Amino acid sequence: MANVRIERLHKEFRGAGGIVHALADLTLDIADGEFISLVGPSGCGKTTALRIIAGLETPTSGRILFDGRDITRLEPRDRNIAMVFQSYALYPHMTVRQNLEYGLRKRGAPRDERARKVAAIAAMLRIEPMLDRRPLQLSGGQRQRVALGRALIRDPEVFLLDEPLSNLDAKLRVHMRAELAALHQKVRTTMVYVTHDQLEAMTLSDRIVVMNHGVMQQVGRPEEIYSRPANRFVAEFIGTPSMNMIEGQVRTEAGRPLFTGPGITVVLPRDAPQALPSSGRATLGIRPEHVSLVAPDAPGAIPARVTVSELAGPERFHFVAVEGGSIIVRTPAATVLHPGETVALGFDPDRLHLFDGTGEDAPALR
Amino acid sequence: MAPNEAEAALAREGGASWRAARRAGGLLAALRDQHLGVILLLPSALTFLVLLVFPLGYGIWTSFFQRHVLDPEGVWVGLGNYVWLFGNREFWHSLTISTFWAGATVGLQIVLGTAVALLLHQPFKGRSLVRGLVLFPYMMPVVSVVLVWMLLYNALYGVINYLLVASGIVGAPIAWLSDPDSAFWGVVFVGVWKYLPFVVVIVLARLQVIPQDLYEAARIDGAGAVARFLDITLHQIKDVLLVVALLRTIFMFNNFEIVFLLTGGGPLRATMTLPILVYEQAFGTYELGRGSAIAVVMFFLLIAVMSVYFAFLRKEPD
Repeated sequence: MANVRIERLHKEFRGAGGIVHALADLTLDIADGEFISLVGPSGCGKTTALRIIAGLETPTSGRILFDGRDITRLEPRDRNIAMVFQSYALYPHMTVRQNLEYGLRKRGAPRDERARKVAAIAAMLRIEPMLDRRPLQLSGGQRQRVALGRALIRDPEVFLLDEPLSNLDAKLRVHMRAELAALHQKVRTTMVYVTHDQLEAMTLSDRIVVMNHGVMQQVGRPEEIYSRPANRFVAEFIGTPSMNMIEGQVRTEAGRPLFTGPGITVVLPRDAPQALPSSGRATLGIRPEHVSLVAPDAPGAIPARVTVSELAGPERFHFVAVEGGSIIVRTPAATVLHPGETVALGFDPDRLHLFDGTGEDAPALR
Repeated sequence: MAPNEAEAALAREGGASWRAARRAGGLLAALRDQHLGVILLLPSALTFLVLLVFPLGYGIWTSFFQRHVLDPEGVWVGLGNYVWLFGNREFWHSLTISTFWAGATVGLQIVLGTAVALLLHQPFKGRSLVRGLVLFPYMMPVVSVVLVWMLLYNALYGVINYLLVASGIVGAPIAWLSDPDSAFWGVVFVGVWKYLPFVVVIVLARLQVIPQDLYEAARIDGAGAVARFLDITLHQIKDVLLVVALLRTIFMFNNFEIVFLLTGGGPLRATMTLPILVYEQAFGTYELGRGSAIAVVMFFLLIAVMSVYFAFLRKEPD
């Protein structure tokens, strides 16, 4: 087990269309035994970062240290890492047993040690009956377990996982997610997990790194990322359905900061900034569960018209039209609204987010 | 009841529309319905019969006759030609030469072809151009290839001998194709050179679809370059190599023109392969029956080899 320090990591790819900055100035400390997720949309640099940690890619500049030891230029096999690939990358002509012990064999482990470790890993992952089968004869979930086993068997210092659950069907994915969490509880190895699925990142991680366009947007515990997003991108990327965003201005009226958007005026809490440091343009964000249906004559009520109402099991998502656009409201399933119905919305003032500007990198002011 | 009624109605409707179609299209429509499959199969079945089954059958039939070009009727000799054949040293000599010829050319084509494909799979500047150029020998007509190589091999003014002598590797020029010791390898080399691109192209295509993840997983597992080739590449291209070997074996065993044009089977019958023996019997001594008998034996030999191959291929679980 090891702590990982990523120092000013930079990676550019030269292609036909010029230079692509896959990763810009990534600095990150991962504690020993921590489960950290890199999350972001396609092309955000998360996989590049993981591949550099693995040694499959060399950085343009920057360093990687395991327990203070610089491993930036080491071959993957000399790093004592293990990796689980999205496609599992099991050797198709080898049996499960041969797949599991391949790494040990290449490192010259004696036969009895290999047999002992294979037995232990197979028992832990419950794949004993499949040891003499080939990957093609296994189901997706079983292959996934073999891939995990092949990584675990070498007792790596750092465990890297590249979208390991994305090839599984929805039900199995939830199941394997829980198994993965239990596995980390048991082995306590440092794990770096890449995913585009923010739910996986939220449920599994000690900390989450949100990335976009090769730049780290925010790093923090899942609840921090969810409740205090650092900028508009993080706010919109994390959470399903997305946070509602309303663009407008902030001004002060009678000593209280007010947000005004198209057809909306919201009184901001006292701790909100009185004026915006830059353009004066701002984005107000509120999560669907923090929008409530209120009486039409309630103070600050925002009139809206229901367009679509979706039942999602225990809750409902209502898409309502306001003057400036569309807002999603999350309610218990019992709250039934019909398309065309007129409602009034109230925003929970303690849960308002305010961003300086309207671009995706607009920083959060509260 | 309701579903049955619906079915009956559908059937009635279907029958009605069939009758309507028949009234409208007449005979053609009826034919189309009943014999469409047969009609569609007919062209390929006829082609198969005329171009494959008939010549093959006629060849086997001919091999039971002593038939001379001047006596096209011939005399039925039963298995006489085969008895002559199996007691003939020429035949056994040619069978040996043919086997070595096919074995050497196919073996070298596969080993060298895989090596070249691996090289061309590596990224380097101008790779596309080199990949195109590699096809060149395969695209050249055999006669041109033979003429070029006869010039290259020539003992008096051939470039190969010039370079060998000039660099001091040999003291005197070697008559590559007229020396019984070197002629076999001389023709083998041309056979390998000419058909190498076939192997390169197919192996290269297979290399390009091997998942990159496998190599990365192996690198992390601690496999070096040689281990990665043996444990991943070789297993991935194995099936393709088997098929290529099968195709090349059939082709090289039957190959006539390269050897015939380069040496004519000589010197001193050192390159007398079975196809050349067939030619010599059928068109040199005009013994069509004997020529046919050799060709029939070749045919069944290849069938035997193919059966072994297919048994081997089928054993693979995936």
